[in-house]
Formats: sequence, structure tokens, C-alpha cells
Amino acid sequence: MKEANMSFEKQWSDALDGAEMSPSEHLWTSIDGVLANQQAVVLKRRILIFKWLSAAAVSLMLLALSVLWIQNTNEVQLAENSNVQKIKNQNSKSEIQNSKFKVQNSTVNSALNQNNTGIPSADIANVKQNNALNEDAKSKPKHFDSSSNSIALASLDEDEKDNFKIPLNQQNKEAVQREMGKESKKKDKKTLITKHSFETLISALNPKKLDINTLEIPKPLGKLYAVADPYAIKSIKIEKDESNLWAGVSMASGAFLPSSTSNSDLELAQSIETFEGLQLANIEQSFSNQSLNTGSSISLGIDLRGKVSSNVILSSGIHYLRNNASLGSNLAVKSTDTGDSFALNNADATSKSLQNDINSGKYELDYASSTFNNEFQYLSIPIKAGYMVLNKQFNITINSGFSTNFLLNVSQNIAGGQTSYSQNDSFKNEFNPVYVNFLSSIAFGYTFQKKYFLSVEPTYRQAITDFAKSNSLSENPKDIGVSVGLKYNF
Amino acid sequence: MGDEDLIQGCIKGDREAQKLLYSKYSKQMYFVCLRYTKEQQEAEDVLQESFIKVFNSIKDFRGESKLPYWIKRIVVNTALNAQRSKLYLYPMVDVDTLNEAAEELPISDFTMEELLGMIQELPSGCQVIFNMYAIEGYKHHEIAKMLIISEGTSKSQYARAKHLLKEKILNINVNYERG
Repeated sequence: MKEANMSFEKQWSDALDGAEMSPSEHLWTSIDGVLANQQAVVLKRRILIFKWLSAAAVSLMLLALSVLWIQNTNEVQLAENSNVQKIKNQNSKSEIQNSKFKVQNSTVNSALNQNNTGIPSADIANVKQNNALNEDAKSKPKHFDSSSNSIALASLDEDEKDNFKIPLNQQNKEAVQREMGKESKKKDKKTLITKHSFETLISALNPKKLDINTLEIPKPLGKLYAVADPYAIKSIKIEKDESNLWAGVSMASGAFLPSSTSNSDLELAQSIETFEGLQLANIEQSFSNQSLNTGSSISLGIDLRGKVSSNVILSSGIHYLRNNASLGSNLAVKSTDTGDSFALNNADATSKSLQNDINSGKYELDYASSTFNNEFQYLSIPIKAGYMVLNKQFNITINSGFSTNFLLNVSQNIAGGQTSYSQNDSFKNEFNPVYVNFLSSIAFGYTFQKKYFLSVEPTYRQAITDFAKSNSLSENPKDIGVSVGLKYNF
Repeated sequence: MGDEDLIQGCIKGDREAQKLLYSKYSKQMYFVCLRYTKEQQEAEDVLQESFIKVFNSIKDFRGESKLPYWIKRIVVNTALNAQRSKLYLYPMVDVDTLNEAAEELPISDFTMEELLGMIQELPSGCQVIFNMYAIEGYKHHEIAKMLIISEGTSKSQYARAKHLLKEKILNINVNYERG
């Protein structure tokens, strides 16, 4: 018989070769449901990330607005306090002036009383004028500047007081009037309180009554007692000796968190594809235990910082970024000739040469724990927008933006001097040549010698595109660090 | 639609392409599942899990082997994972190896369903090892490492499977002749 010449295994293999049988029709519906569910989970996770990002953005915005509001409130309060202080000063001066004015008038009156006998009608008129002035001063605001007040104020000098103590006859009256006229002209030049100051005072007491359009900023006078106008202050731009462009260097260090939990599906697929006919279960089990551990991150680079408005900053730069993360492996191959053990990483799972070496009997699978130290080198270009919540010599800026990382190199070595099966370049191919981070930071800056800017900036980065080509990392990596920079104002 | 188009469609998550891929290979893979399991429901569970793994990891398929072979390996591995708990529950022990002389076995006289029935009636350990050795082509030391058993156990379990199958074939054949 035909079967007699064939081995038992060959007969069975041939008999069942290409055998097919239809599964239940509902099976595809079940698979479709599971796939749809998986997609929903992924979508849900993305939505959750966007929710967190939105919440973070709204929180930052609210924080920035709060700080801005507090800052503005403080400025207005400061200006108002300054106004009130000056008004008080003015009032006290006016009080003094009015009291002096009263003294002066009483002196004049007593002088008039002393000369009651034979007083000329002109002197009586003069007395009435003085009384009228007195009444006028009482009825008008204390700070109100009128020519009569100026005349009265002019007579406050100590050396002139005596002039008013002598009886006012026609001759004296004319002398007094002459003196008053002179002083009036002097006082016009040295006007302490201007029309503008009167308006600004009103504005300080009740800003609604003030028509800003009619306001004029007074020209500097010999003595400026004008009350500071908060509205005018805001419009005054203080010229600073600085340009909008800063450039410098910075360096950062922190923790690199690959957040990896190995995905057994991937490892399974890889191991199955490569190690056809080999120890599937062991390889699957071993690679599924591999994961990247938390490592360190350092960067060094050039920074540019530009002001787009008084409080809004745009910054960018070019940084060399180096991340470290170790990988634990519990799989190795052993040379059948020498007995030497060589560690395997997950990239070796796809190595054709390894497959050939094992098939040819050169190596056999072995179990040995080893730790691969992986180093990822990137060229990173961050682009950040920031809002200065405190814009003084010491300043605080809240930044948010993205950084694009271009893979330069990935290298591996094994801790403890153990040898790896292959120092292969294929490991680099496991990672995407470009990935993008979302970044958020708070920069604390100090400006010194007008041109130099020192900053300390805690930064958080979260990858928003895939770091690895395969899905061996269940989550994208993140890193947290602090950057220190020095910039120069050009 | 060729395999390459199906792969690209599946990578993009195109449900139509996934359905076409499933339709193309599900019958063949279902039979593989049946060989490793005892009943239809169990085989369908393995098939479902296998195809979900296929769709999730197809972006990593590098074309180093043919697509049906790659899918089959995933199916076999999923079936082994499903059977592993049973194998540990009923540990395999060495049995005396029977040195049987080569006999004429009229395997080609049986239908595919009859052969499948014979395999499914084997004890779990024997069934897995028979499938792996006789049909998938694994060596005994490979089976031993995969199932974490000794090479001797693999050999003896296979010998037992072979003996049981021969008995079944010969008994059925005798009954046919008598009938």
C-alpha cells in the first residue's frame, strides 16, 4: 500500500493538509464587537487625555487671569492711595493757607477797627472787599485757585504780614494793592493747584463725573502738586532700555518615565513570526516580561525668547536631549561550542541571524537575567507660548507648547559587562524617528544688569505621538525636569 | 483583493478588510483550532482570540513569512495557551514507549471529520503533543521547552498518542470490513 512507504506522521500531515471547516456565522459578529470595543477604549483614553489637557489649559488661563486681575487691582489701589495722599497734603496746605488767610483778614479788620475814626469811604470799600474775600474763601473748595485767593495767599509771607498791621489809609491801601498785584503775578507763575489738578481730584473722588476727553496732561511746572491721575498713568509708556529678543543657553535634567508595560500581543506576534518552529511559549513568556524602567533625562541647548506683547512671550530653541532607560531581560542564548551566554533583547526577536544560528545548532536558548541600558539621543525643538504673570525684575511666566524630537541615535549596553547577542542597529528601528511632546512649564526669571536674564524652569513633557514604532510601550513616555538658563538681551 | 491590500486595510483599521481577511482564512484556522481542542465552542473561542491578536498586531507583520503561516502560528500559540492550564491540571507522566513495527494504516480511507474525531478523543496531553510533533513538525526537545516538560515525557506521550490512534484506525477498519 501507499501508506506503508510513508511515515505515520507524514500520512497524518498529508491527510489533514489544507483541511478546512466553517466556524459559526456569529463568530465574526463577536470579533467585530470586540474590535469595536477596543476602538472605543482607545477613543475614550484619547478623550480623557484631551479632557485633562483642556482642564489644564483652562486652569492655566484662570490662574493667569486671576494674577492679572490682582496685579491691576494693586496698581489702581496704589495710584489711588498716591492720589489720596497728595490730596491730603494739598488739603493740609490749603487749610494752612486758609487759616493764614483768616489771620490776615482779621488783622486787616482789626486794623480797620483801629482806624474807625475818619475812615475814608474807599477804606470801607476795601474792608468790604476783604470780608467778601474771606467769605469767598470759606464758600469755595479749599484747594480752589482763584485770583483773589492767590492774592490772599501771596500775602502770607512773614515779611509782608507787618504791612497789614498798619492802619489802612488810602496810601497804605494803594501800597497793599500794589503788593498784592505783584504777588498775584508771581503766584500765577507758581500756581500750586491747576485746573487739571482740580479735575483729577474730582476723578479720584468720583471718576464717573470726569470727562476723560477733556483731560489735559499738565506741562511740568516749577512746583508740581498735581494729583496723579490713574487713567493718565496707565497711558504713560515707560521706555525701557531693552529689546524684545533674548538669546542664551540652558541645560535641564530630570526623570524619564517610559511608562512601559510590555504588550504581550506584540511580543507574541514577533516571536511567532521569527521563531517559527522554536520554543514559542518560552520566548513569548520571556519577552512579555520585558519593560523599560524609569531613567534619567538631560538636555543642553540654545534658547530664543521674544516678547510679542508686554506680557506674552514666545520662545524656542534647539536642544540636544539624552534619555536613559534600562530594560530587564530574562532570556539569553548559549553557544553550543563555548557555553558562553549572550543576552537577548526584544529587538533580537526579529533577528534572522539568530533564527539561523539556533536552527543550525550554533546557539541554544538559555535563561539568564540581564539589564540592558538604553540611551536615546534626540535633537529637540521646543516651541512655547508663555504669559508673564509677574513682570518685574523678578518675573514668573507660565508656558505651554510642544517640542518635536528627532531621533539621532539609540545605543544599548548591558550592565555588569555581560555580552549581548547582537549590538545591532535594528534596535534603533524599533523607535520612531520623530515624536512630539506636549510641554508645560513655569519659568522663574531674574533680570540683572539690565541685559542678563537667569531662569529656573520646572518642566513637564508628555509624548503625544508614538515613541516606539511597535506597541510594545502601552503608554507614551513622559519626563519631568528642571531647566536652568541664562539669556542675553540683544 | 490580495494579501498585501488586506494587510494595508487591516493596518488602517478598515473593518471591511478585516472581514475579508477573516473570511479568507477563518475556515483553515478553525480546523487548526479544532485539532487542539475537544469541542466546537472551545475551538471558536480560540479562533476569536486568535483573530483579535492578528488584527492588533498585523502592523508588526514584516512579511518574513507568508501571511497564512504567520496567522497559523498565532492560532497555534493561542490554542497552546488555552490548553496549558489543562495540561498543568493533569500533569503528563512518562509512559512506556511502545516499539511498534510499521504497519499499513489506511488513513486515506477516512474522512477529515473522522480523523479529526480521533484526534479530539485523545487525552489532552497526547492530543497537543501529537498535533505539535506529527502535524506542525516540532522536535521533541522544542515541545519539551514549550510545554515545560521533559523531552522523555514528550516522546512517551507521543508514542501513546500514536498507539491510541493506530488502535482506533484498525478497530474502525475491522468494523467496516465486518459491517
